[in-house]
Amino acid sequence: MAIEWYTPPLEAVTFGGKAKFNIRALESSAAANASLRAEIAITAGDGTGAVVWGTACVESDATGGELATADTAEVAWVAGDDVAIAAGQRLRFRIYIDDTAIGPLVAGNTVTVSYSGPAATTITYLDTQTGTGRINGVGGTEEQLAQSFLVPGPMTLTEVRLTLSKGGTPSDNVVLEIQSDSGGSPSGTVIGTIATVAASSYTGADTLYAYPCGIALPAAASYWIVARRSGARDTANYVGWAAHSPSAYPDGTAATRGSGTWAAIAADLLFAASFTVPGDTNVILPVLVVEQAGSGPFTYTKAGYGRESA
Amino acid sequence: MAKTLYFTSAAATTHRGDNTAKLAGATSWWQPFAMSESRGVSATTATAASIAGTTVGIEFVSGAVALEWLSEPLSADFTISGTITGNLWGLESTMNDNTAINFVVDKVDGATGAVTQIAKSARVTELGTTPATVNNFPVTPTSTACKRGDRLRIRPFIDDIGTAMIVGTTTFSYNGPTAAVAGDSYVQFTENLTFEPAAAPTGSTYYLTDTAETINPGSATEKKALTTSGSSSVNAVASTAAGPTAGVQV
Repeated sequence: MAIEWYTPPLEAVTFGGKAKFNIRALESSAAANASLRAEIAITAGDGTGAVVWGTACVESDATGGELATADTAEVAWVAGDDVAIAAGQRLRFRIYIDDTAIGPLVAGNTVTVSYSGPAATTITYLDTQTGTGRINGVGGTEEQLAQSFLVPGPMTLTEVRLTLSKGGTPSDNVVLEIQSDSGGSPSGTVIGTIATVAASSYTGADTLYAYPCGIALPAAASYWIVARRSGARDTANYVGWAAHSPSAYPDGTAATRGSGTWAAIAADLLFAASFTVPGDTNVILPVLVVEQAGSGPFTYTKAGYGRESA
Repeated sequence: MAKTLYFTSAAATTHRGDNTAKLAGATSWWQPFAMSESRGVSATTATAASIAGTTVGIEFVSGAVALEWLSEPLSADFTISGTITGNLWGLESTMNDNTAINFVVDKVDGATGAVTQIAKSARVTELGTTPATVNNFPVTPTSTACKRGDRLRIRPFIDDIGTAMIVGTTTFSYNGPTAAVAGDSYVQFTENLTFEPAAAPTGSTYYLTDTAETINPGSATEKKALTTSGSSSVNAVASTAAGPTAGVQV
């Protein structure tokens, strides 16, 4: 029997905008051609009278949004109009198997959605900046920069945040990748591309940029965030990555590549990385909602002054 | 202030999971790319095969799959009624192809996924051959109310110029980073449309848990969505059906 999830009854609120529906799922076979669609509806307090607020398939890609055969984080951006939720109404969440963008679903397979697992985790290393590493391009010193991090098990990297800047007027792209580790340095084997960004889009000031992604890290191991340039070497027009020296992040280090050879730096490059694990299926709503008192796992103990576990 | 949306090669942040009719009537699956407020990073091309004779429109393709471009969800209600200007870079393989480049703008309803046509241009100015040149032209839309959460769907296509085409190849150039050169393909709306930001929302987070819900409104199994996560992953397994499908609830 299908499953649907309900929030507790809510206080009145205007509900509109874009929700992020994070879903962990897999298909049983690459031939299944299965994708997912998420739906958010507004219901009466008893769950009846559902009115669909928004529905959307997961993000597309070269496969048209097809699931992987390993449990992977998928994202559906479900958006809807401003709607007045009355006191006592609930939100209902549903997940559907759907065709991919580019081909039909194939019968005889299964789709597994994992839920009720632990929440996402984040490694945050955004310490005080003490310097800036340069990314000049291939052909000498400071060709590329990289920062390693350690994960304790299979996870999906969902967002990377980096403090970056530009010097001069670089006109090529910065390619941000995840590479595996080889003897304490980036291996050159790309696990996934975080983003490809026009270097001209950066400013001369160090700024924290967020790059959503969905890269499966298959095992407990060290991985590297590698920043390289798509164009020719240009030391006058470059990209900078903020650094903190000495190295303080206990589970990784920074490295720079010079003339094709990686070397560790006694510093860390400022970064944060967010991950999900199997079962971390959740919905981030576009607005803050308040549950009616006594309706959920929490009850208000002092009206207007907070709440405690029931 | 007008709003310009650029054809990029980035994957769209959703897809429609459906095979729907192309302009000429046959159904097709659709590879969605992002229609972005920012230019792309590197010019690329897509092709469409012209046919012998006339047509009501032929979309650009990747293999057997037609191409469409989807915007982010609108962040407010808008009525699109002003002129929409296409700025499409393209070329035809020979001057005997007799092809013109055009575009369709649709609305994709955020709640239902229903597609409604807003505008379809009918330009009959023949493309040139290599190199690609720009084709800048307006179309007047059918006044259409769009609401927050709806997305725009845009498809460039080729048409005959009023006389029969021959079999050939038309090339559409898009995703360019630089104004006024090949790849700088966009559509400009009279209205200053605004779109939901790319960043994740910052409202309440609800985790889908395995805790049974006490309400029972229908035939599904009801479970609680809570603001605290579970601690042990549970699997819901559902069997696939033969597509195209409107969806199989997990």
